[in-house]
Amino acid sequence: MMLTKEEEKILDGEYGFYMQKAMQILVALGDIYGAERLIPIRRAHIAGASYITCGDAGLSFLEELSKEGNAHFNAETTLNPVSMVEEGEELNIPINIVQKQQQICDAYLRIGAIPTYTCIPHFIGFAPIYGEHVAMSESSVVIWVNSMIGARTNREGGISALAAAIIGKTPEYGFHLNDRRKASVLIINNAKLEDVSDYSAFGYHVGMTVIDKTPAIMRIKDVGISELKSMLTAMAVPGAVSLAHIIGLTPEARSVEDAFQGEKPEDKISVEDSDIDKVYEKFNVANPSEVDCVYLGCPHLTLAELRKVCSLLKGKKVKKGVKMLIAVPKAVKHLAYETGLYQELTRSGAQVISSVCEVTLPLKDLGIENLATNSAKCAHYSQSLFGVKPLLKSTEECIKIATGG
Amino acid sequence: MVGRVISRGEAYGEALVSKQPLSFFGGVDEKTGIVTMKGHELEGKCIKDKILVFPKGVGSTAGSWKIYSLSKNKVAPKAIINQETEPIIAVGAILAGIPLIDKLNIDPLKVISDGDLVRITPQGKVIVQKKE
Repeated sequence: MMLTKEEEKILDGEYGFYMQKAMQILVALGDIYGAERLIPIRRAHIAGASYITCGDAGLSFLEELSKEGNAHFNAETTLNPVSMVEEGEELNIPINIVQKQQQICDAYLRIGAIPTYTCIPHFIGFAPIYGEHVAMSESSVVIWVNSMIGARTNREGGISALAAAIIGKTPEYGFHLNDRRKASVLIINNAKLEDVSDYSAFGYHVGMTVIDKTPAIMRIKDVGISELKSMLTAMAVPGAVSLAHIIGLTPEARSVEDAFQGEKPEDKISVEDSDIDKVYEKFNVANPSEVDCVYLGCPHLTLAELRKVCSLLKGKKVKKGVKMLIAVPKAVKHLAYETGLYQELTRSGAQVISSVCEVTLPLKDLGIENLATNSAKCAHYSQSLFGVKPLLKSTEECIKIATGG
Repeated sequence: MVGRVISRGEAYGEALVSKQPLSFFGGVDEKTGIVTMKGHELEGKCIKDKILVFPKGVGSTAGSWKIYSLSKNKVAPKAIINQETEPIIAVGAILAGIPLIDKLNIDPLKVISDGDLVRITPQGKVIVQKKE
């Protein structure tokens, strides 16, 4: 890789040990993927900021890194959910986890992070523009900004995004280049998709089918942010899809020809109702009568989505023995409070929780064994990471399970 | 043999070799350095102070933190040789300061066996002394 004089100096350690480490990481990635140079970024998003992911080793590294003069972010840097809720939210997360999490958050704040603690930073004011080069970790942020905004990011890990944020640059390879952004598989949707859970199941199925290829998807019609966000988030889970061209909606895919940059698809695959049913079947593990947690908010809900959940809950009460968790960004919770939505949801027995997600919560410590959700991602990770029995259902059915009818 | 230097350093030690990819997140005990990946050919073996030779990393990118953690707990390998490395191992090795070499001119899985004494130089040379 060709480095500038200034980049060489950082690599040689002239700006200290931590700047050197960050530069070594970027150079190693650039070498692995054949990048020719580093390019500037204005924005980064860091996943794996939860104590459950980075552990004591991560904590001690970040504490050292954040000491005066060691490093500071050179890009607007947002954080993914963590293992700690806002004051006043009752979740009984073990105190040692909360304390360690607080130390990790404090360290990130000292380096200049923005404490968004959400997987939807782009819906609370931290979004790139078309064509902007960014370094995002959290697969659902990666796939959203690539597919719906036309910004350019690789699927970074938490640490490579951290290194990019410190240096303010990222190696130019993969999804930063036009060639890697072209679609290779054409997906034709024939399935009837209604609830966001159907879109989530559809996304999961496409992800399982194409693994890490870039799909172009036809016949996704009359959708809004909720449907697209459920679909794309799930698509990034079973494999490593980083960009999906939704024909007519993705800025780089006004047409099928655009998506394939004039080339022929390697493969054409149609998706039928039976494919969607299979995803529901895969996550039909928990018995509805044994569900002890109904989880909505993977990915985090926007205010409009929270309002919809509230209207479905109207006049109902969450039954005894079931926790109904609704995960949102802190920023959305504050708006919900101002508009009275938060109070209304609380009165019905639901818990609006902020800054956390099913991946960053120690689900078993919270006594959760059987979890119903409208998100295939939530079903996937609650099962694979924590051994919780999942049940994938529509939003309305989830609410029925929570309220007993 | 000579390879590409991903994390620079020198090391000398006994080889531990696997033909299977390895996940450090949920695959290696960070306190003991013992491989816990079910069904893996290194399952139950300790990677502490070894020259660890395997094709590449797999699994969650949080595996990088685990490599760093192994080194903090003084149970990390002395060096890693991959056939062709990927970001999880590369980032972890750099954080932990563990030498990492890949893309050797000869396939390391064919010429290095368990117990061989291996020396790695900062320039990416790998010298193998076969076990008696």
